[in-house]
Amino acid sequence: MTDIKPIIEEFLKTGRWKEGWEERIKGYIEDVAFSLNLTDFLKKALGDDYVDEIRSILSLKLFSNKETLLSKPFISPSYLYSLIKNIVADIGRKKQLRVETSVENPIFVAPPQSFHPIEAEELLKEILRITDEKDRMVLCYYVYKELGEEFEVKGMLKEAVYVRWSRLKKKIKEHVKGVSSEVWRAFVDLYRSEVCSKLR
Amino acid sequence: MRLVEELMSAYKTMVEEGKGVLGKTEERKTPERYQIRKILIDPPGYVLLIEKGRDGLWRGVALTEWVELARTDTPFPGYIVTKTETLVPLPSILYLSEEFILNYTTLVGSVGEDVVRRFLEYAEKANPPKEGPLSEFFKEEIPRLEAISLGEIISSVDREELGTLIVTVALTSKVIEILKSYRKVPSAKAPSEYLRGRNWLGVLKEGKLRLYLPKSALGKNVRVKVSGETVYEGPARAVLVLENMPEGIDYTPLERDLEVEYV
Repeated sequence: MTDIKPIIEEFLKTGRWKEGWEERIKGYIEDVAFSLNLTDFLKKALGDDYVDEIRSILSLKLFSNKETLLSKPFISPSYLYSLIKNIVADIGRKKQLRVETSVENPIFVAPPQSFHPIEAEELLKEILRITDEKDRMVLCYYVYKELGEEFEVKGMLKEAVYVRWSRLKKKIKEHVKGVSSEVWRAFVDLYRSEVCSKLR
Repeated sequence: MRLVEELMSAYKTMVEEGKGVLGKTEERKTPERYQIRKILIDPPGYVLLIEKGRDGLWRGVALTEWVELARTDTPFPGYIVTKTETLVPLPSILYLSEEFILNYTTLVGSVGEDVVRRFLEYAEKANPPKEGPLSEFFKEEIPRLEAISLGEIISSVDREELGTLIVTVALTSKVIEILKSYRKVPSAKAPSEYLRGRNWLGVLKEGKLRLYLPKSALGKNVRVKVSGETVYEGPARAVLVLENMPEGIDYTPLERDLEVEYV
């Protein structure tokens, strides 16, 4: 496997990337944004030059991890990818918490009211991808039921709702495996406001 | 979910490549209450210092920047946001020596007492998930951080009768000879020393080496060797005290030469 420690070492020494590496890093950032399906989100959050913005956060991160990086015997390109993945996720976290990405000193942030972790947004996107309008109404029916409220499924008999639900449950189960109750609660909140309220 | 899967694979790549190697710092900023310190392991760990105990060890809440992997069924009490990361508490308390903090951690910043209270309450109350994709993270991350802390040892000492957890071993003349071959230093220079081996921690003081073994070793049989010479063989105890250590010696090579094997 390629060892990029000398490249990183030079960057930490001079503050400049070896020729060709700046472009390569930009490519890594674009790849990660694409693989996490966050390109549009990042453009919206950071503007069209989101790649440069992330590159400068990466530089800060590398400098702040200098001691650890220099004590490593070896650094692989996938290590850099991994670092970028967490940086991209962190931009999402800060956006959800409504804080600037450029805070100088550590600040404490209590979860804002109606806080939706990024996983809840992602889950919503996935659920919308695997369901049609009737499925969504059926899910609303059960989401409301869980909360002790009623939701009328227009144009469907009760039996048809049950049959559809038993099929839908299996489909959804795969996607919510391992989701914490906090994320699930946020998803339900988001689903009600983004989907159910428009289907009523 | 894709984000959790991608972050899990990123985390695993970094842990695998990091191999538990610690980076040393020249910064040496004095630890104080309510500081956030970055532990120079790869990927970095973080700790929020609470207080220094009478035993000289700092107690702190373990923190992580892998937010989406660190969720439990107890909602996070809040987030500490820095320029390059967002930190949340883990359900784990670490115990770190002052020397360790000075050598292997850097100062990130400080928070108020209220934040410390909330994070500590979470660390004591929350339970790591026992199954599902997130349980993998906890199974790796908490032991990884606790292995560099005395946490698991201290908690077991708290719970049990101290005497049954300590065994004292006198060194044989052969082992003493090996130790005497190490570099000499003026005795007054190092009255106490902190050592760290692959699966042990040691505090050297007044001619005795207190060897701390991980809780996972308790109940098993171990063999402690110095450069191949057996020092102790028998049931593991939380603390093994090696007596009659020659004075005036730089014991750093012991980090490499002292091995604890399970037999």
